[in-house]
Amino acid sequence: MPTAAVVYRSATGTTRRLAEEIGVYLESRGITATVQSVGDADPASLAGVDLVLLGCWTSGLFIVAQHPDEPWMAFVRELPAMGQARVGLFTTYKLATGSMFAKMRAAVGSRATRIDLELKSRDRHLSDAGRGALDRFVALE
Amino acid sequence: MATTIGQIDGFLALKRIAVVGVSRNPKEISYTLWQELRQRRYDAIPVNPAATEIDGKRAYASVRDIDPPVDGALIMTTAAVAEQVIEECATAGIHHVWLYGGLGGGASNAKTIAAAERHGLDTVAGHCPYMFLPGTPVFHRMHGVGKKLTRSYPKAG
Repeated sequence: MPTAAVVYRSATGTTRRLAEEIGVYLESRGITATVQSVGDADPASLAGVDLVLLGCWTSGLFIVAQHPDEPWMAFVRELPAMGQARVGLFTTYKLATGSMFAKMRAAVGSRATRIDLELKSRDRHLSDAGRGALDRFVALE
Repeated sequence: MATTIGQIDGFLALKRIAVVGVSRNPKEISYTLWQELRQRRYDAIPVNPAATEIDGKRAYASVRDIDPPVDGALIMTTAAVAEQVIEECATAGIHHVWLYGGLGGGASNAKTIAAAERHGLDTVAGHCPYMFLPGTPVFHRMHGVGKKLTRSYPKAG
């Protein structure tokens, strides 16, 4: 059975709830998923996981300078090379994600062979479009 | 004695911290701040005599029960309860305490500060840790700006 690690950084609980919904959905697709915060997850443990989903709330000045915050960045800096794992990113936001995903991708850098998913939610819930994106992410070879 | 930035930096450099008065309600500031510290990889131990577990983590009734002991205690109770907590910190050999202060009050007042000084504790009196953690949401930084404008922000030292 494939395994997934959903690791989130949440400032107010919104991204945590999205991460939990992602975990439940992945389980419903037959994937063994663990959902942990950046404070609880061991970066080294992600090396052997099939699917890695990294999430962070969108920090910034309303509609400009969006970026992942320092606790998420600190976690990513400790990540090992994730080999052939499929890596996805997710975020929650109020107005716009702007440069959020670009900065998350840059932070992950060469630790991931490729990043196949960018999923965002304004209301902390996994939308139909989000579920579809996850389905495609899971089905990738 | 007024709290200095040096004292705050010193407290935030600790790794194992008791957070006293953590609510089980995720909407409460004590809960969100405890989670914030955990996500920043502090070994943040919840203390709440009304709970045995919060969010899957063992909660302690008193700082005296925590083993191995913590390096410091962030006290987020009311000031009335904080006096007792300060006594317990002194008994437990905890030398660094932060008497939380926020927009709605907190653990810091003249009596609790005097109690901490009486025990010789290194005390951050008032203020919210969110203002001093790097990269916090803008409204926490605005709180710090407001303190600077009203000249109640800690001085260097």
